[in-house]
Amino acid sequence: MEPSTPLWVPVLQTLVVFAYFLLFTALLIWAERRVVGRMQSRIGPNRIGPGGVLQTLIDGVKMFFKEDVTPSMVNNPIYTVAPLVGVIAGFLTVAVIPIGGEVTLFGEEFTLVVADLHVGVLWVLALSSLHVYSTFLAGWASNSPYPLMGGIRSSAQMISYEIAQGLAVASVFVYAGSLRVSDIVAAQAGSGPIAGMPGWYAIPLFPAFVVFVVGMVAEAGRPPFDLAEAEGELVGGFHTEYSGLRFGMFMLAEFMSVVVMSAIVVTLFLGGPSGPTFGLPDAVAWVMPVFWFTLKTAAFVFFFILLRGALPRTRYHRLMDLGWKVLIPVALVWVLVTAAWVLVSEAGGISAATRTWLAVGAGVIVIALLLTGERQTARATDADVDAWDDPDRDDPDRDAKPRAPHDEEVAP
Amino acid sequence: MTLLAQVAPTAGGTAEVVVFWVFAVIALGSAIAVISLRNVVHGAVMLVLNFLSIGGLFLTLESAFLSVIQVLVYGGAIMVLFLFVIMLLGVDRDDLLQADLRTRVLAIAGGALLAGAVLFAFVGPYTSEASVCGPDAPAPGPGEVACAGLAEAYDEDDGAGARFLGRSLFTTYTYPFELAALLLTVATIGAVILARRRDLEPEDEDLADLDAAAADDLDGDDLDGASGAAAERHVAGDGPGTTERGG
Amino acid sequence: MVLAQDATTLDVPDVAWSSFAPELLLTAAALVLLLVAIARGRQLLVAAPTGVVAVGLGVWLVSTDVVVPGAVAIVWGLALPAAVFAFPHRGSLVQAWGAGVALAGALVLTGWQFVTVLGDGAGGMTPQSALAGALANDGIAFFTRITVYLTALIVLPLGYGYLRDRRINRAEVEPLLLLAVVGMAALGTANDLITLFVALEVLSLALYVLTGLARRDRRSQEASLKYFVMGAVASAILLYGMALMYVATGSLSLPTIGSVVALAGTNQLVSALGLALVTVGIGFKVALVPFHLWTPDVYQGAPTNITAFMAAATKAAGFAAVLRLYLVAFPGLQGLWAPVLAVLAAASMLYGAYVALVQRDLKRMLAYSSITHAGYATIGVVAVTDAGLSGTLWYLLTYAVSTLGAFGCVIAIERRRRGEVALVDLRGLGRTSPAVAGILALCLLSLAGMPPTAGFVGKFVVFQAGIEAGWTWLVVIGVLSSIVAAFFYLRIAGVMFLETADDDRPLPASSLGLTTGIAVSATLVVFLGVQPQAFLHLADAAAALVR
Repeated sequence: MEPSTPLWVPVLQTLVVFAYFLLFTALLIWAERRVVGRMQSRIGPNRIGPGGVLQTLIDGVKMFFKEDVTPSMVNNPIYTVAPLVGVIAGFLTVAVIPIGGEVTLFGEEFTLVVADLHVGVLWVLALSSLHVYSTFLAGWASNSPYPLMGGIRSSAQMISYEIAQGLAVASVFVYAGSLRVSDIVAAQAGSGPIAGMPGWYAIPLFPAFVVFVVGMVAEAGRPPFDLAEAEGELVGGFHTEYSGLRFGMFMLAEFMSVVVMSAIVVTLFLGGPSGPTFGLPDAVAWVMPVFWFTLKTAAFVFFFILLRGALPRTRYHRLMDLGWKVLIPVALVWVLVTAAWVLVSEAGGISAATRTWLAVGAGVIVIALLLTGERQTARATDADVDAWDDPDRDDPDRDAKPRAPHDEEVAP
Repeated sequence: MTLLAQVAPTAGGTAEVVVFWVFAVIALGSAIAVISLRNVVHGAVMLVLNFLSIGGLFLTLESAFLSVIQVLVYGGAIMVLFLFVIMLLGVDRDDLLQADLRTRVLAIAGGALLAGAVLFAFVGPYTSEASVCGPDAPAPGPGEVACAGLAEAYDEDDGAGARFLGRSLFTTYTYPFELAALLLTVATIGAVILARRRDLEPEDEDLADLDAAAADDLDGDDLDGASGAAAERHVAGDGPGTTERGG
Repeated sequence: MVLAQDATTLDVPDVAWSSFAPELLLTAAALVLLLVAIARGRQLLVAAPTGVVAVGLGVWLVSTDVVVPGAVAIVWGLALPAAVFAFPHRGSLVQAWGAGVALAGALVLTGWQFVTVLGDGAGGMTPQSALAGALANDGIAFFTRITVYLTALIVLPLGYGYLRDRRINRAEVEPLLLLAVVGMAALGTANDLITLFVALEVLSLALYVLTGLARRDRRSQEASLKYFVMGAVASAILLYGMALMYVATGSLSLPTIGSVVALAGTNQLVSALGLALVTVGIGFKVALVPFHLWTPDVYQGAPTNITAFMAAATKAAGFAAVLRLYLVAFPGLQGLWAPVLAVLAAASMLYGAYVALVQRDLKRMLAYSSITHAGYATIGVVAVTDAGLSGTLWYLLTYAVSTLGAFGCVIAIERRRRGEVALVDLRGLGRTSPAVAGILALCLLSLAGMPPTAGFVGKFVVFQAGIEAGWTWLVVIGVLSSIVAAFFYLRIAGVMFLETADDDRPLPASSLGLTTGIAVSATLVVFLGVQPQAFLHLADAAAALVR
């Protein structure tokens, strides 16, 4: 912070950003119930406020005043701290996300971001990795089998998908050449190879974009990847033993991570708050970036809701297969590809437009490989399950034996 | 506060000093908690806290990159795996941590000795007037003590250290960097070997030249059978380091 | 493109490929062999393209007048597909041959390095430092490479049949062995603290896994775990010591540390603390008393071929690190460390010999004998002279070949005993299997330091260097310990040749590989004992360090 900035500016930035995300989360919960309700041919909450929009508020008040039951077997203080970790990690993540452009107020010019760290992207990754502790410790501290299962599932899931996500983000900052979020947003501000086409990284870095989007669903623990709290199998998963305010915190953290993840993907791949301002006067022009950012984020939030309404939960081993055998290799290859042509285009003086086209071409190839690869994975895992009663299933040679009997001589 | 003032001359402000003290106290407190808490999971959580506060201390040294990496790698990745293993194996019982009095006294004495020596060696010279630190520090003269390495890091403009680190890795330290890749490969192969449930089928037949009886129990499993000859062979009477195998 | 301007200013490091050519070959071979193992029935799919690439690389190298490495690449590129063709259903033979040819190639490349790159034309060598000072090609590097590669080359055939006997069917053994060898060679060449530490970890990690290969044998598992836990602690201590050295001197490069440590302005207290911790850590790795506690259990529990490899090669690599650390980085603190190391050496020699005396198990006895030998090798280090340096390097080579032969015979005897070989099992072996008994006796005599074996020349050179440097008391202890050691080595010979056997049957026939391995070690034991001049000259020439 420059010494000349008055104290109210950072305070205002912080308040605005946090209020924005909190409000967004509240609206998300309402929207989810309405949209899923519509998908299931029912109405959803419609009593409180216009269209039931205040339902979340009332629910929050209810949770706040509900009796907070602490089972006697739990392991305090970890039981108490666990829900807080998730909420805090969620709130801290949004600190580096710019929700709008430059704003001038009372003669002070500032950006709608809490802190534009020069390692902002890493900050996002670091905090999302800390988010694991919330579910994980809650599951353990509950001292109960289902929550423990949920906690272990969630930690394995999040670690796996963090790698893929981190690699996807790596190709973004290799392409942009900076770890600073504002630099990445600025680099996407221009137009793409065709006039009018946006310069979003989702286009040249399409495989990374796909990996990130899939990864973020898993990272947020949302359907179809909500194995950690699968109610059909684990009662409520890691939060089975929680009630009242602390359960509310888990809910807040989960829904907030939906919003935060959407905001991150918008920032890194879809240009963040950039968008046309339609020649509005300066006094109100600052509204447009906020509007664009909100619109893009809302689109992703809607995507999350549609996933929840439309897709059944995956099996756990399929989830792990997808993460380790598809997403991580694709993301890894993509980082290499990106790094290679950043170097090549710098050395060869290839223009930005050509580079984008090259990237799109390579992206198509990688995606094609991804699709064929996934089909093979699916086939292999189905075979695994069919062979469940096979007494020989622990035998590592099992696959090799029937398929290729000429491979090796089997010793007597 | 001399040390902080020396290594971070641009800090100056009181806020930075406050942050330093807060993180320093958390770091020390959590480190003590790690070794004194009887519950393994509590200890591990304290270790997470310790790593986070070390990350905070890196921030007061204006090394945001190192700080975030510390949180990401140690706080996020390594400790999650740590906890994962603790929970999966169910080793969170405190009876594993019983240490007898002698061990305890020895451990405390050794720790105190090391800590004292390090404190004496660091805090003495590096906080005295004779210490030469900071980005603009001249080369140390006779009788003066240089702050190792810090000056090099401060040559970088933005202080983030990321660029400096990357450049070092790919120029000065190429060879160890590639060796580290080899290390990871070895670790991966080792993990695969240890995790695989079963050996491959024996593929060759030169076992034939062993007498048939011998071939049957070549496995080490049967070595523990207490036959007379085995018992005779077991008169192992050496000094420390001997472990009697349970038969 | 924020980084764009900076990217152009990045000075691309000068990569002297010749300086680590043997390791490069072995790494490539290890990775290819892993792929071959994964491919199983489709080995040719991996081997053929690799062969083509290797031959192509070799032809290109030869065409650019880099003849020897080019030839090595061509040979290896042809050998791998040939092995796949020759042994279509014997994956393990392909692995063994692939690894063996690579190791032989590495030996050739080491010789080539010595002659063309480092040689001064008169049989001496000019040490070089490469890769921004991370790597030193000097006498220590040269001798470590020779010892380690030779050891691995002998261990491969020794262990091949043994692993089959014990039903350890693992495709990863050879690649892992090669990677351990790369780590050891890298340790021998490491000239800065980071490289040294990472190389040490590469070899340690590989050895932890190799120790636990016999997964159905509880002792092997126990040994692996013990080695791992204690090794990790030792590594942590070593790393802490290195960190303190960095704090004290502000440099990671060993020669720079060496020059800074001597300056008046250096924080001597921190240096001394770092030195103490480094000594503890490295003392563990080379098994000096009192940091030897892991040795007997690990040597006994590990598969015998791995024990042989550990005893011969790890010791050589560990002492390479010791020599480099103390002679390059800490000569300024000589007054501090030399007495300490001398005491450790004396303790190792006496304790190892004393405890070996009461051992019944042959592998355990050889483990304690390896502790005494660590003590003998340390005499050359504390001498801090060129003669001491070359003496230690030479000693490690002689110890390697002697101990390899001894362990080879243990493997041969284990074929009958299936596991532990106790003293009573050796009764009458001289009558039933005179060849094995004779070679075992020869190798034990060499370990005891009797003329005309390699061990005698080794001890002689080291003791001489010790006396010249004024460490008479240490040498006296060394001689005393040798006498004690000679007693238990000779006792084994006595049991073999003078007592009558319970079991009149000869040992089961050894496999061709085992026979070859034992024969080569025995030949080397005699040859180095009778004709040591050539190698001694080499060792003298190699007493040139990058400082």
